Amino acid sequence: MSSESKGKSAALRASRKTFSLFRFPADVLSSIQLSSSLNKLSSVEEADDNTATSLLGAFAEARLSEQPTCHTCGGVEFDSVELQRAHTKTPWHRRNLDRKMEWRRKAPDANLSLPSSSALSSSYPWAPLSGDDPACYDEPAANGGRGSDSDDSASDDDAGNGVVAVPRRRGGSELSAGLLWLTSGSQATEAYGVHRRILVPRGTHGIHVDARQVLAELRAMQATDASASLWAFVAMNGGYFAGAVIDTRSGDLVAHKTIVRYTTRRKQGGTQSRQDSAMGHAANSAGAQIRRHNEQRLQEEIHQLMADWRPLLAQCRRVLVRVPRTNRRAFFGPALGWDDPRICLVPVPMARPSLAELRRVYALVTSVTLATVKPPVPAQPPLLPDSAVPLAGAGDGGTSGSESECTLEPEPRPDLLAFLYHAAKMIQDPALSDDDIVAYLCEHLEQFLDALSDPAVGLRYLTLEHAGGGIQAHRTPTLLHLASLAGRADLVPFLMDNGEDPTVTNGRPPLYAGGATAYEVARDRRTRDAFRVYRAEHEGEPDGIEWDRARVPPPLTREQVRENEDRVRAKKRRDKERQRAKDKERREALDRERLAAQADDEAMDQALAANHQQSKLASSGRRLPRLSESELRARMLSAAYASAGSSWAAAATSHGANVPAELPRRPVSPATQRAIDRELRASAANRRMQQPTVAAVANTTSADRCTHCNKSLHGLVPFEQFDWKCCSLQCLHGHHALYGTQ
Amino acid sequence: MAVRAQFENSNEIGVFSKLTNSYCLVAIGGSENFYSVFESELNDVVPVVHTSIAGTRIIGRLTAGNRRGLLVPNSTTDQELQHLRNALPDSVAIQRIEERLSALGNVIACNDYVALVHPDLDRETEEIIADVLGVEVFRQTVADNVLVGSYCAISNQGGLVHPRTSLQDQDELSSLLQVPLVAGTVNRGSDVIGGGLVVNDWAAFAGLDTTSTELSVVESIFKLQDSQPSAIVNDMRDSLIDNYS
Repeated sequence: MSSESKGKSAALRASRKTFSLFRFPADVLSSIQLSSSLNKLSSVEEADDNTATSLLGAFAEARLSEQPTCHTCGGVEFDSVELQRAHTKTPWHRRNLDRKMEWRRKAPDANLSLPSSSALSSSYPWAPLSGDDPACYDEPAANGGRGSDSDDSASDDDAGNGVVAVPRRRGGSELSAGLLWLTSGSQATEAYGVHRRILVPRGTHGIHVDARQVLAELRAMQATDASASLWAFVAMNGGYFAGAVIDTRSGDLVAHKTIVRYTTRRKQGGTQSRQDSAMGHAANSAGAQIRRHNEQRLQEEIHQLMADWRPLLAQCRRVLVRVPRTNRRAFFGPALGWDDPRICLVPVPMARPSLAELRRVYALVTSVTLATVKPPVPAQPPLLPDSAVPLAGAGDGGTSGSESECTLEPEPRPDLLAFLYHAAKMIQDPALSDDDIVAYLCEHLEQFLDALSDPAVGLRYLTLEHAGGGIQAHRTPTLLHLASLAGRADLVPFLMDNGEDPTVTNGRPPLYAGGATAYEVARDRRTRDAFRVYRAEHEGEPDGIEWDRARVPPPLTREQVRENEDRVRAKKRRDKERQRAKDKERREALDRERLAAQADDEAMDQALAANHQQSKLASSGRRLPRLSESELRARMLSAAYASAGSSWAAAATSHGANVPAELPRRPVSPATQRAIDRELRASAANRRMQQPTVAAVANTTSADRCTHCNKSLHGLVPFEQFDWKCCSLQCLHGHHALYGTQ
Repeated sequence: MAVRAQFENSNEIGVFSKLTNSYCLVAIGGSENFYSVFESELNDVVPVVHTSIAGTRIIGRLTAGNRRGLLVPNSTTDQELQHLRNALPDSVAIQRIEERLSALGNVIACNDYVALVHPDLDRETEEIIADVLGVEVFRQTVADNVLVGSYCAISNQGGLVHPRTSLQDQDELSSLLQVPLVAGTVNRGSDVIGGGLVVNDWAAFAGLDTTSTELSVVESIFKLQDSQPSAIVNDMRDSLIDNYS
């Protein structure tokens, strides 16, 4: 079979020529467009599960293959076996084989779960389905393969203004890794490769490329005014930091700074903080402390630098960064947020950060790779071998001719998107009630249904000018998610009635896998119940919703909901009553305490007054022993309690049950009374112990001694007058002679 | 003819034996039954040599060879080497190979003209293989497995490869080898073809568990009797569909 007979859409050949991204020739720029064929759309092949069929097919094919090929290198075809064998000795083939092995090592289980051999081949990135992987065409044309036919084809420009799905490849050769290919006009023989990350905003993950936006971005880069010509480069790795702001018109450095600090563990690798977190505790060696300190200093210095550069950074059109994954959100400090749309990751491999390295990366990133295009010939239908039994066709036919099955990412209608965006804003607005929103949607029902039935319209397709209004498309890919998240229980059944699918999960593109369904993001119980009630009312309908996939629990009828609500309400009421009772009790206890305290105070006042009187008496001649303050207080309390107890008991017997409330005194239990007495006795004993020393100094008399001669009265019957006690009449007379006049 | 055999209750006879067009190696210490299966098929044509390699009996996995030569790993003892030299015909070159991947039978699959080898094999080893065995060497994988010797069995007539080998890969391999290939199994569904099957141009031995369908596939693809590939499609289609669907 000659090499011209099978169609290849396009081929690229590398050339060493490059020019700057900012110096696109004007004639090229005027007609530039995104090439869909060079950017390699994903193709679809039907999996063939029937092993017997494929086995039979294999038997029918048990013959020598007519067309020598090399699938490792992207399905290159050869004119003869000799060329094929020579090809397998080339370093090019070796490298592709290594690449394949490496990929296999990274994804070792990929081939175990696949059902059949043909499905197996279709799932591999190097599988040669349409065979025009540009990654494999950096080989000089010496392999004798591929036709050199140069017919034109219009398939180049069918991506003109749409959104193109560009599959990301693992690895890839250095020629085309991460490049977007642009062509100028459909007759072009040259393609221009620009780093994808430079042109495509970060949020789109490089999967869905909006051609219009890319081209607008490219044109904007040609502008020569000073305000839009600064690019910043920031790189940090292993204690090395380098930053530069470069004027893209001249390539001059506007500002630059490099910092080196000792932060990584020599011969071990990794920063100290990473080591600490891996160990689970902070290492305590001197070196570890130095490194930890240096890490902190480095971060501070970077923040300082960024603060100094703030006005420059504000002007920069792009900020290319290569910083460690940990802590990258806080890397710039307050000067620049990580979510800034101008930030993009450096798309090429980079060595240790230094100014020279930044210059090299700048030159690499901003250069446009030129490649020669071989315009494709139209694909022919696959040739089935005449001898093949019909069963064998499935296995053979799928390998080629998949050109027409390329999937284009559908382009959403802008008016529907705008409508959807407005609806989303309304749902998020707390001022609007559910009924308002339902009314609005009913009013625009036609548009709403259009938006729902169009697969290309969803919140996840909201473009950048819409986004930023608090709608995170990856969290809420549908209106149902949004309504559920906002707790709009009445809106949920309306949305599902009109065809919103509750089985859709949120998640990050490209797979949107592993996310939560609308039910799972529901804000409150009421919203969750709305889902379950809807399930109860609509379960078992023909072609209804797959409730298990929507992860909605077993259905609830409205009665059950009402019962649940009643139960909740009753419980709430009980709780409230209990709380009220408790409050009342506490208030009463407080009152009682206050009254008791008041009574204490009164008793104290009385006792103090009595004491005052007594001391007055004492000063008038009766030498009462001085009581300590605490003893006094205890004695008075005791007296007060004793009188209260007796009066309470008396009142209780005379007035009946309602008396205690009027009594200002609290009852004293016998135990308390005993404790008070004990205290009294103890303090009295204490006072007696201190007595002799006091008596020696002051001429105080004891009750046991003669008032006049101070003789002990032990064993005597004293002679008493007033409060005098005397040992004899003589003493009494003598005392009377001395003091009797007062 | 394709014959079933068993080594000490193991069906993996490819582990314990090595068959080429000019000699057959069998592991020592097996039952007489095992030896007699080989000897009755081969005795009057090629020598059946009882040997060990590096003191082990897994000689089929440690050695690689064809009609012109035999490659043994570096761990082979001098005594074993001398024994092999004495027992094999003078036309067979024996070479000890210094190679990290020492299970040569697992990493090399060859017939008398072409050898498929593990992609990571040494450049030097590759040259030795080409010189000693007189073959053209290709670094390849079979169904994305690097152990090409384990997952395929090839002779000068045909080859049986791992059941998950894609059609494109089969085409590519068959054009490299210039023999027809088919994807299949041995030992009632085992995909370790090299472990369950030893084959040369006129005889094949498979594990005792191999089904008659599998044996027919083997006989057909290695052209061990009159049946041709097309005959299989016509005659055995019903039983194949029964078996595989």
